[in-house]
Amino acid sequence: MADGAIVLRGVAKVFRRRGEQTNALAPLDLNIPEGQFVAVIGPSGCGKSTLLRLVAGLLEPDAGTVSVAGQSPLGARQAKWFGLVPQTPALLPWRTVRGNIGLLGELNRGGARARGDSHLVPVEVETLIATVGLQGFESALPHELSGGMQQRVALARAFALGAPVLLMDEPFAALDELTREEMRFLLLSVWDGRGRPAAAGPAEPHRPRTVLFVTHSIEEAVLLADRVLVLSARPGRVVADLPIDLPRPRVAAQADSDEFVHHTRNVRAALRQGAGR
Amino acid sequence: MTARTLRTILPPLLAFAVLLGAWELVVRAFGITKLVLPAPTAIASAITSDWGGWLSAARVTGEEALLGFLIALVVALVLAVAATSTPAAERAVLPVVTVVQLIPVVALAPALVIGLGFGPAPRILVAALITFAPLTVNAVVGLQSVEPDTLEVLRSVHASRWEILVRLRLPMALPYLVAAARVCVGLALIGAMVAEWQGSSEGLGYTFTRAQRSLATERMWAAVFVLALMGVVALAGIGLLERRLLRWRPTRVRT
Repeated sequence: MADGAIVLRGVAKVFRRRGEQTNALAPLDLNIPEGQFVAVIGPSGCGKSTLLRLVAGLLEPDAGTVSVAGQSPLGARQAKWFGLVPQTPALLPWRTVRGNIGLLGELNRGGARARGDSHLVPVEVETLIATVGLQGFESALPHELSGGMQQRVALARAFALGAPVLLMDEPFAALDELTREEMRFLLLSVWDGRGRPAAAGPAEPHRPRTVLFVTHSIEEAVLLADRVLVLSARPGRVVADLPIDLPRPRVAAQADSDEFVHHTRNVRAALRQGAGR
Repeated sequence: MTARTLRTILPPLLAFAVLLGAWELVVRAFGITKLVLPAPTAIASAITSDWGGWLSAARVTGEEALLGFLIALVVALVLAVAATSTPAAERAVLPVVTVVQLIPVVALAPALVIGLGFGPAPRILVAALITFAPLTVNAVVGLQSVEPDTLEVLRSVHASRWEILVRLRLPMALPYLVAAARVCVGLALIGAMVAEWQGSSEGLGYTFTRAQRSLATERMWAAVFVLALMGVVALAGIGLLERRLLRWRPTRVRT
């Protein structure tokens, strides 16, 4: 039985531009079990985003294989396994908050059904709006919202299909510090099912979602993840694979604990080593 | 009429009044003959003395211009969608557009009359050719103006090319197409009218050349004024359309 696991075997990616070759990703092996929250961190240009795009099948690897839930990235995409949150909110400016959150449900309608959509537990748009705290803004257009609110819409959109695999590419990087912190905990609460508002009735049996979260913030990586992958400078390879065993649910106060600081120190050391400094 | 609309339309109305008044004054003060420059009042009476004639001439020219514009719009959209789908198609389409843009389409009109006869076909074709390039260029730029992130979100659920075109690219292209339409209104009308100079028996261009033969300069000027007025009406129509279709834009283009 296929689960939300992500498996990479010897995956490499080379970019060619005007005859020049750039090794973006060294041959990479990776095994992410279902339900794990994995943060990927590394210096700029180390191939973090490339890794995410390879998993989503938005890029083709030059070597190796990627499998998501036992199938190819293309198959997983067709079956709507992915919830993607890019760096910008990437909302349609002519659609309201409600319309943007509902957008993905209107696309590729045949895809998930044809492949058996038992893995999908679509969330009611209204429920999601409440979960991400956008009540009262259902009919607002994106340009009427702040950056943080726009990113809330993007987050809700990624959760709307109930996709078992979340791919996030520095989703909070452009936000101010306070909003960023808010968004991190919002993400965690939606991810582990605690974010379900009482009005939505009894929680459905929660299916853990696999998360691949690209970031350049050490604190963010340690705060959110079960496991932090540290990539080296180009071509990216895994220099450290660090389990983060901080108890969940995570709270802001944990950031001051000795264990937290210990983890961030480890990640920082691995980053330095990977950057060759 | 509210005070606000009055404030908006009063300044341009005043400017036009001043301009026409000065024109009238100069013509009268210096005794300029109508062969050199007819007075605005003479032009106005040339129009008001024959409402029916002007209206039917305007209709002919307007229909040619509109039909030419619509044909160009359809061709532009088809080519722009093709250009957006593969880099090779883009490299094929854009040079053709550039060359068409450089052809003096209006000068081509006599040749088109020989080929297409004395019906409205050559005039419609001139209006289409003259608006084709700005429409295509804007359609290509508009369809490609989608953010890569938004495109990837749609692709991550395996949205089809058609879905991406209809739900993302075309709405993104709409503001660009509206901007192109503004430019094309004048072009299409001018193209149709000038094409009527050759071998036509109706329309504003025909009225123009016939007036020229009898040295009725006030009627020639009147034809030009009627054409300009049609452009103003068309632009107002586009402005209305824009306000309806592009309500979602953060900064609405002022009309």
